[in-house]
Amino acid sequence: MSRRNLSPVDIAGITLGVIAILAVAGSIVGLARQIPFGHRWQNMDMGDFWQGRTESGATRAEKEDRFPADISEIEIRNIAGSIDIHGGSPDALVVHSVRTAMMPGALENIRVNYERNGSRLVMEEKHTGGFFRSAGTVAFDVTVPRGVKVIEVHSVSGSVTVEDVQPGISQKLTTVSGSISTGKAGNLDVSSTSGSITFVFGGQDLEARTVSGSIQGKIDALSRDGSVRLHSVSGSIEMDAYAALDASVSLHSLSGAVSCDFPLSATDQKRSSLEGRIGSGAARLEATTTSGPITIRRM
Amino acid sequence: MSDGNEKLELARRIAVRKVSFIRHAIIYLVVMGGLALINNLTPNGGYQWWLWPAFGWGIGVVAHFLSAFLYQSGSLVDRMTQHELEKMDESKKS
Repeated sequence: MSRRNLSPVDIAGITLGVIAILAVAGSIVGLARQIPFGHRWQNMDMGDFWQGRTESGATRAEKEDRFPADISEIEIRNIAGSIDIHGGSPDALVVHSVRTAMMPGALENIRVNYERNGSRLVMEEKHTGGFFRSAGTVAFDVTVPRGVKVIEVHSVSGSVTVEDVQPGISQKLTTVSGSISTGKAGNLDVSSTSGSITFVFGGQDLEARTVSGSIQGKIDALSRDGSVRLHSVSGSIEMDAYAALDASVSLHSLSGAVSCDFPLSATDQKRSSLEGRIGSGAARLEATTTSGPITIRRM
Repeated sequence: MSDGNEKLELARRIAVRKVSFIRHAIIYLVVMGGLALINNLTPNGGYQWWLWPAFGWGIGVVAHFLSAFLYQSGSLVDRMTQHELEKMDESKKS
């Protein structure tokens, strides 16, 4: 094919063909750099290379930050890493953060930002760098001192666990797809779109919401003027409550079955709905689902 | 079929192949651009998973390119036939 016989279609086709060849070559190079054996081609010290890499090939960096024990409120925000909060620190708030990325260079674009405002500490993962230096994750492991009264957590897909903290701490925990597990919460506001929710509650107000995840919990105590509101669209709701529960009960499901172990004076009882009173009906207990079953058990 | 019709049919086949390749390559680039965007706008630890379909599908696009622009509608077979005919003629002469 001589040059003068080339039509615009030929030129466009040959250009696109060359681009396709370059794309395949580029993807081979990119994939080779991405998987661990690819780094053998780069004259690297393999000892240094493997140090700090997880089994899955990701690069990670750990850091521990300590803050004075006078902090009473903490807020944590991340995207995909797990968030574990537990008690037991006598004299400081200890934040152990783990940054993880598949590419070694991507780690430089992730950092943990701390902002202290009075007795409130906000810790948040931040991302910098260019478009194709894409993000990694930050996992938090936080040990809180006894003085912490409020815990607020927001994660997109990371799991959230709160355990062994002082009873009575007010907690607000939200995720999109990560699961949430918390023990010994005071006031608790917890929501997840598709993650499951597990809690142990002993306080005044509890609100748990999920779309497709299940809600499973235990109520150790409930103030006389307290309220419990549980809502799920397609997930199930299962709750164990202490035997002396004193609450007016409203359980409604559109298509799921509803059951309650407690002896109660029912004002309306059907397969998928139950209204009534346990004891004098001092507190308020509401649970609603669209298709999931609702089960309330007596401990 | 007359010689003119054969030529017209061959030219049409070549044109269809070329246009078909251009369409294929544009779809490939648009889809891969979209996947690269999704990959890099969502948190995933920096892993570039879109390179896998870029590689796999890319091989298919390159093969389509070679077929449309280098191996045009049996021209290799035609050249081989001509070559074989020339060899047969030479052996007859000798």
